[in-house]
Amino acid sequence: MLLSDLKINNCIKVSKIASDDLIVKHRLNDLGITKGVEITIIGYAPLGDPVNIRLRGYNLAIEKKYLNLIQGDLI
Amino acid sequence: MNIVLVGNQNSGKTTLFNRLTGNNQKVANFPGATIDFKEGSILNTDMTLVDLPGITSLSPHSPEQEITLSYILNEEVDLIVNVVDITSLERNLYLTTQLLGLDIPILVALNMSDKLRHQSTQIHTKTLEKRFGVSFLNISATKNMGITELICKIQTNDYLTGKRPPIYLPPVEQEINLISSSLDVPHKRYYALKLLEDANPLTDEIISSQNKLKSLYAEDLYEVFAEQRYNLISKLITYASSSISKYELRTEKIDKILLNKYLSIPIFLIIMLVIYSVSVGFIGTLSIDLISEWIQSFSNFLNNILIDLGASAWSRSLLIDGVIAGAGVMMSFVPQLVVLFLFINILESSGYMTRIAFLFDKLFRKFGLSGRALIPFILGSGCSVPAIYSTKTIENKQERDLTIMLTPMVPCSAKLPIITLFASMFFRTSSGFIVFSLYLLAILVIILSAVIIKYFFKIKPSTGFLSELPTYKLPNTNYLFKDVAGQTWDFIKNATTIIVLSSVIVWVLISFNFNFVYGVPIEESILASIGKILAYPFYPMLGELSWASSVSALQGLIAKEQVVSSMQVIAGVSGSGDIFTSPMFSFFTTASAISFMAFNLFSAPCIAAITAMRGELGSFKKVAFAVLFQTLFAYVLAVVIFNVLSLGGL
Repeated sequence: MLLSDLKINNCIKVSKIASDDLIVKHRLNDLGITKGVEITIIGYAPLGDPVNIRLRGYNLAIEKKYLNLIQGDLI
Repeated sequence: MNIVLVGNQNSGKTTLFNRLTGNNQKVANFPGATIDFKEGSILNTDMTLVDLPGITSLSPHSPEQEITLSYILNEEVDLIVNVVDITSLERNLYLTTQLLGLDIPILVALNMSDKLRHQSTQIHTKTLEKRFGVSFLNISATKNMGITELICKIQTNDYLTGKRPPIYLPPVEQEINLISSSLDVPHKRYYALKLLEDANPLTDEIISSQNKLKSLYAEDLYEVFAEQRYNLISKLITYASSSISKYELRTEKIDKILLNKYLSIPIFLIIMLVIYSVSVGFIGTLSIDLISEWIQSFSNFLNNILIDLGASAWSRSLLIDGVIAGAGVMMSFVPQLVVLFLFINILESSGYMTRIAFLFDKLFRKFGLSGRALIPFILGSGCSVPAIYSTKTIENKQERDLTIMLTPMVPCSAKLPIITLFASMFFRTSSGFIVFSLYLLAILVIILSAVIIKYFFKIKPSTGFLSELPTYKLPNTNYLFKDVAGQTWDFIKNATTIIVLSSVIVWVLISFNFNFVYGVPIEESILASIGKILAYPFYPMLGELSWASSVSALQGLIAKEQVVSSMQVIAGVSGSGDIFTSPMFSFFTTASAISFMAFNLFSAPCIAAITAMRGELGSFKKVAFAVLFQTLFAYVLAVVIFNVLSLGGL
């Protein structure tokens, strides 16, 4: 499933980052979004975007369009 | 010995820098770049310390981060002190694993260690040292913990410098060694990795290494390396400490309210309203009257002494109507500025500022901006100059340019005198509310300008929002007051030098005619002659040919606060201590007051801000466009306001 389909407080284990834009992909990598990482959705901004996610012991504000690139399995 | 501080944006680098250097610091500048950083010497030593802009990885995403990388790679660096936020250890150590590839000794300072239980961190340090082959030290810059030890270690070279154990899995290490053995540069491991990641490999040797690794792992080697770094780190870290989770629990609880779907925006608006009604409203009205009174009695006192000493009329006038009147008006705005700076600093250091960007990102995106633009805009309510420099954190160039062009349209603290003057004069009962609604008007003006400029420069949708939401921190009062004092002093310094100089020039122009005769009626002065020509373009927004108003507005180019002090000087020379009862300005109606105020708020910024824009936009054409656009926009707006309000009978 895509990270963007995940409900609040649910957790996903990332299996793939499907981006053709390598600059975007590498930034996500640097911020800790790599294969195998566990990500939880904490909440959405009042206007629905960006999204507050939690991974690797910190919180990251990330735009929704990037969540569409991240695939994984519900855990 | 040259030491650099390298770390993530929220790692507490700057606090550590202040701790280590005390007051022995100055702002340094890279040749050819407008980005400056702080340089100083460590207390009681002759070792220099450089505070480089924060980075998350060695792949820079903004001009600021490029500076950090190029400094580390190209300048002579004897030691990197890698500042790591221990409350966000996993992500912070990512940079550390990359720094290990450089041929520079590294000392890792685990900052904010006071937030962890003592025992668990001891274990961490030993494990980390063994695995990375560099020294780790627990410190807390805000609590002054481990600082003496850190200085001692640096001074006595008491840190590990031996060979560092491999970071990556054996097949990757093998290719890194292969590539780096053929390189003849410093930082071989760093460059070998860069070559391996490269999507357009240069030599057959690199292509064959890449193919070997790609067949083992995946197509994108950058991701493979990142994954292996993170895997190593997460294996090393076990969150043994309960105090971490307690600390993060607090942030989670606060965020439940401050980032709540329904409450967040009202809370933000209330915070802003409170900030401006306390600083501009309460403190402002209180202090302006009080300080003006003091300055008035000081002027009288001085005048009497000078009369007793037999000073000539023109020299007394120069001192009192020129120097003291100009500088005095400025001084009366200092108290509210102190309060404003205090609030802005609290917003920034508590971690709320990043959340403001988070809350409003989607809204800003509609106008070609991102939530990050809100930070320069909020800083811009203090001063446009630091605000323009703060746009460096915006990665996308077009988005940054747009933000730079819009930032000066935010009413800065120097424009506050203009707002407060007119607000208190015509709307005495509710000046706090008037100020607040002017800020709302400013928001509308900025949005409209953004849409127009976006159309002119064909700005495409920008890169998405990606930002760490740091844990909430109580601001350190010590540094808070130090920062506020520094910013206030900068304002006073700039204000007095520019303002006293221009006040004296205005006084000369106003007190003499073209034959250089002193004491001519004000209508015959040099200034009046210049102003009489300038008065025509101002007629549509004032409904009056007022040379005094047009000349004052022109002086806003030197410094915005100069508009008010010029009016004060002209009123003083024409024989009235009070601006609006003087014959020069008594024509103002509510309509012309608001339109004149609007013109001064949104027209070309002061020279200091224009200079900052020139530096950051990097092109004279863009600066000229921005300044002309702002002035034209302000002019049209003022004329419309005047005519609409006049029709309404105001």
